[in-house]
Amino acid sequence: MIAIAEIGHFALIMAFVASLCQAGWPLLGSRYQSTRLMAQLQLAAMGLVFMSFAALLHGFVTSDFSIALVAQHSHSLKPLIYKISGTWGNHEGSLLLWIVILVLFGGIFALTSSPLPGRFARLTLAVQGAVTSAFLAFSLLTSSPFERLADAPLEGRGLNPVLQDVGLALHPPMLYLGYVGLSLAFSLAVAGLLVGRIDQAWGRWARPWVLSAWSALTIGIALGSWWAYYELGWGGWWFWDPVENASLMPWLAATALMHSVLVVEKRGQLKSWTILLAILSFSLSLVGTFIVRSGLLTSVHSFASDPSRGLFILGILIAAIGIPLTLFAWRGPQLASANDASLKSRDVALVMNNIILVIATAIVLLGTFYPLILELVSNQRITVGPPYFDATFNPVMAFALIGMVIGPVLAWRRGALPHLKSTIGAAVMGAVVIMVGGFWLLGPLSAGAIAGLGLLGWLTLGMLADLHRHLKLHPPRQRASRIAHLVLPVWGMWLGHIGMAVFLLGALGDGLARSEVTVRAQTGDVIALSDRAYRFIAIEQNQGPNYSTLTARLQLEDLDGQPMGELAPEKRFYPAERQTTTEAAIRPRFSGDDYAVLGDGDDTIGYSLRLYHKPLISWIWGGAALMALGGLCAIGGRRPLQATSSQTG
Amino acid sequence: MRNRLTYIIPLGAFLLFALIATIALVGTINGTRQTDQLPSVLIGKTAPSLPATALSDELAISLEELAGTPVIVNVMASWCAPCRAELPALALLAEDVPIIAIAYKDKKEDTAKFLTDFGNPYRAVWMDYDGTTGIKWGIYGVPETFILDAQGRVVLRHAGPIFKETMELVIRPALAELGL
Amino acid sequence: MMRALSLVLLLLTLATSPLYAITPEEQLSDPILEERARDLSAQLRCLVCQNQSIEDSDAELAVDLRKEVRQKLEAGLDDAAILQSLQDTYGDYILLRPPVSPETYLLWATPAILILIAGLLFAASFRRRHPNETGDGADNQKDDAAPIPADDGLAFSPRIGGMIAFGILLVSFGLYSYFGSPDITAKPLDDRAEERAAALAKETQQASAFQAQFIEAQAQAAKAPNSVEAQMRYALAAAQLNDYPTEIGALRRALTLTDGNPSIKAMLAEAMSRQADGQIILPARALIEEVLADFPEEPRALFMKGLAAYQDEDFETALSVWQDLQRVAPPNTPWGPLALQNMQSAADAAGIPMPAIAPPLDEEVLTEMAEADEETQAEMILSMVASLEARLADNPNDRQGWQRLVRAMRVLGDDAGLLRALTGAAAASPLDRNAQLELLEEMLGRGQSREMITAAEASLARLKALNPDALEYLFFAGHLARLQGEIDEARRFWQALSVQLPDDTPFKAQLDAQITALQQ
Repeated sequence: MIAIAEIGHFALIMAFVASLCQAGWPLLGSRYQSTRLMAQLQLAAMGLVFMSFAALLHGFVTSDFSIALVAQHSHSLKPLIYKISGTWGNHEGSLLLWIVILVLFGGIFALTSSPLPGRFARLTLAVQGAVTSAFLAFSLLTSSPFERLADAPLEGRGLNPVLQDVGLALHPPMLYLGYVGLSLAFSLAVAGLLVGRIDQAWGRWARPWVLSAWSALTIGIALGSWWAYYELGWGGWWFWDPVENASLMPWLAATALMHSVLVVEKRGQLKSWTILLAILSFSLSLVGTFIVRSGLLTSVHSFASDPSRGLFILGILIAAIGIPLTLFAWRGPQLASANDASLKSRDVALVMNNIILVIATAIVLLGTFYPLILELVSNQRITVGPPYFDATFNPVMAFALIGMVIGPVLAWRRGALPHLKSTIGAAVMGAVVIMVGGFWLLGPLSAGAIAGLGLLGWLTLGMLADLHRHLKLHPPRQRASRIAHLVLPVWGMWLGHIGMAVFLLGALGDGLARSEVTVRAQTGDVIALSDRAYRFIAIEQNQGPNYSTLTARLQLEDLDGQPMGELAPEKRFYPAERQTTTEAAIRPRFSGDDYAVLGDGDDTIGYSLRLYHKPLISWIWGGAALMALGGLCAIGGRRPLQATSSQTG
Repeated sequence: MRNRLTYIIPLGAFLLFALIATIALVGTINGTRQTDQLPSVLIGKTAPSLPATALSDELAISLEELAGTPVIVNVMASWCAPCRAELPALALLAEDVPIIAIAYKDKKEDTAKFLTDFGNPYRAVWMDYDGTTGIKWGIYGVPETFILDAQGRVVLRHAGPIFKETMELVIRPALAELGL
Repeated sequence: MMRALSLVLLLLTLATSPLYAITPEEQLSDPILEERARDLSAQLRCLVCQNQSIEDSDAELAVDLRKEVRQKLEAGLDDAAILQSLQDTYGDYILLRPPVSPETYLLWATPAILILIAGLLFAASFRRRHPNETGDGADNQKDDAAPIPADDGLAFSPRIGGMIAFGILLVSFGLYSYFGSPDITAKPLDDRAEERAAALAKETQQASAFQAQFIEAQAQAAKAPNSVEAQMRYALAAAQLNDYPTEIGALRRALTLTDGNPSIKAMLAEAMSRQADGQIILPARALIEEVLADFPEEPRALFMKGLAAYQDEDFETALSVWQDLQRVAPPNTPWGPLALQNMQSAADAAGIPMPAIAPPLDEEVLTEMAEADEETQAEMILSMVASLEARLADNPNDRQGWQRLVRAMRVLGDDAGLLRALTGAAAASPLDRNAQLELLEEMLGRGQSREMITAAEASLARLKALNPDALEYLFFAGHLARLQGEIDEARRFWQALSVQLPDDTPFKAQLDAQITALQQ
């Protein structure tokens, strides 16, 4: 009987041939074109890639060590969930997952593309097919997940214990949903360039894809940051690591795209710019996913890199980015539209927003690649670390946050909404109050911290004032129903912008008011930390499913000695991998997290403990969740996809 | 209509980026780009001092005593497997140049056992118990190898073990420049 | 490849002991100084990590650097001086905030330049456009682009769909037949309970058997401390239990008892290397050289010599040594497959083609030849020789090839060709005494030409390298010197040879006669 893995391999090959067909079909004369055929090809590729992924998943779940990938990355003793997540916890499998999501998006598009003009839908599917086939070729030729071992070992080589974690099991799929979701905006943009026409309807087609991808990307990045926060064990949540930067760049570009698509849809303007952003966002996703696998940049988060594989990736990237940009250089000028907006208009505010976000993207790009460029040019080695980004990226983004209050109170095309002045007034007041309050509470602060507090006040009060004005237009009795009748996209904007304020609150809370202590303690010791104390109750040895632990039991007490809760930081030893990991214990509360890490030590010298109180830090991820929710809200409430303007115009 | 040129800028910027990436990647593949080698700041400067304690009296030759000839300083440790792996190469070098070892964060008995078990190509072995000498020399891993000229100036630093390729492409040419 | 490997090794070294960032003992008692230490640490890069500060890193080097920072703080240095001193030893790379210098002007200026350019473009686009403040402004939905025409192309016919599906299937089968491995069955763990149990049982059984053998051998060795056999058994039993110190001890005793048996010496070298995690360490290398000096064909020593070269990443040498091993090792030895595998990886690492391991004689070709008529035979041989020579020109290290060429030339009776082949064979196997001797003998048997003398000189040098006191060397060196007219030289060589020869051999008498003849 033929092995399931081989069926998966065959399905993957078939998916490749089908996508190649899908990519090349429009090259045949127009006599042979059929939108339905293209959609069927896309759906076939989707089904085949799903089959293939299922086969690999099956291999991991049943521990079929005749599959080289399983033998290398799995272990029979691993809990089921990590056997499953082990499927994408490696280069080959994660690439397959990436392709799964790519065809999933293509498939959904194929199913919902009927309102689009046929030629447009076909070209979009063809571009999607080209991207899919390129990555399937990459997978099959250089990173096949279905490499087989004739002499199957009896036990696998395990998975890095650091990667055996729920956050990390979910992080790549979410991140890929975001990265790959942008592929449809990309394909729509390239199709638009090929057709040579972009209209307002284009904005309407692209918007759901951009928003859903953006939301997923937001969640994906937040999950990654959350994972780093609780798993790496030193309490940080963002490190400006190349991999983190690689995910931040498409997010920034997609944020700009999300706003400029709005202008296309509402006003039929900024079309060429939006097309460029759509190409750029997905290009940055590609760069983000793959540059770290090429060995060009290295990172603690990345899979083992292989430079010769890198050349293949680079080839794909150059084609996938270079061709659309060439098309853009050629066709872009035709898309330009006359600008009829005044300086004081929402249109222009959105242009400003775009400019700021693109500059921020450029800064991250520059900071990430500058050391590499310098090394090539002059063989000098420098490091571009967090202080650089703090000094350049943060101020630029501050302007975007300032604009978040002003933009929504401007009208489309020209002029302001009536409550512009009162909103800005409230925002200024908020900024001043919080700056003074912060100074009073926290003592002397750095300029950056003061600016951060000011922004927080500006954002919060400005937005509250705007909401208040929205409701004040109506008599009190109608206000409740008014809230209910605000259309979803407006709610989306609100949630998104509030999410940003919440995020800022979390970041500032942790950045300005964190307290920390590192001690060597014996059981029975009480360690004071700001307004609380830890009582070191006991140290225990326990047995996990595939590891053994050393666990410190700490009781958290308030100043009166009343117990508030218990924390149990661990050190885990994984015998199969012969590796030790630390598991921080976290007691998350809205007011802040208590965070404890167990270090080295023994009963005679005592144990090293690092204890933190991190005020408001959960709000960082809460803010990200709100932003993502806002993005999802903004998809809904639209009219169904109907090419109204293309039919009537 | 805006200048057509504006629309070519993104393509141009991307092509520049692609060019840089290609050069870097090709360099990584054929080995001309040495990602694991940090340039040493000490190049051209007088070498920092050695630790105060030697492994034994016979192995206590100082840099001053060897002044006038080029010297190799090898930072090693008994707990480091690559250090063991490069001993054969060092033994070959020792025929031409005196090699001084700095035993980085090591104990005397461990270093001594290491040398008896695996061979001793060194003319002198100095004990850097706490790694402070290592920091003075700017090392970021073991093994590292420094070549000093007759005046005691650092002319080359190689991080990582020495095998044939490094020997032929890096070490020997540097020694040849010093007339060896 | 080499860099990748050494980087891995380097990283392995650095990742040996997990620590968990800052430990309590590192901290300074003065909270203000400690706070400054934290701030400084956050600005310094852990050089061996990826973009981590030494504050966040648990690498050994980060710990040392943290200590260094704190020592300097206690010594009263200010922050700038501490950063400067570290920059002086480690370079700009250690600073997470890149210093402003000509190299980083672009880095620091770009954000400002971008803002400036964006501002200018923005302003320019408004100046040029004269915003129409009095416009009607009502038509927000206005679209100045013509809509995309709706066309749905062909109606999709199931027949075309079926044809395409069939085509895709066909092409996929073609590709799969190349990439797939349909013959390998699935081996899910649940189906392998028996196999696993058997493997486990075998392992346990083997372990206890090894243990029993060891105890037995230990007793035997203690009972008969002067029996080489007992010592060897003891060493073997210890090796099975990975007890290398015991193995080495037993081998050393056996070596003393046998007065330096080369095979045991090679085994000792192997055991020493196994103790060093498989690295062929210096003392083992010395032993191997000793063995090979006397017995250049000792297979274990040859294998280890190849391995040593391989570990030095000198893949060409490794390949040629292992090729020698293939030649001298009796067929079907356990070395065979292992050495072949090693050769393949050496060839891959060096990026050179795997040398062909030809069978000793091309039996089939010879049979075929025997059956053919004379003319065809000669043709076949000639074409074989031509292709062989072409191949050898590309790959002059193929020893088997040269030896086949020698045989072919002998069959053909082509003297010049034979000399060529012998020269090649001698050059390809510098360690093979016989190859040198064969060449030298052949050369002496025939007159002399410039090329022949050059080849002979090279061959002699190789013989000398193997053992400058060997009788054959002295004989041929003398002979060559005589041919070149250096009579004194020739006499010296032959006299040295004569001294070593036993008195009553006829050869000594002959030689002495020759020496006398030289003097005239």
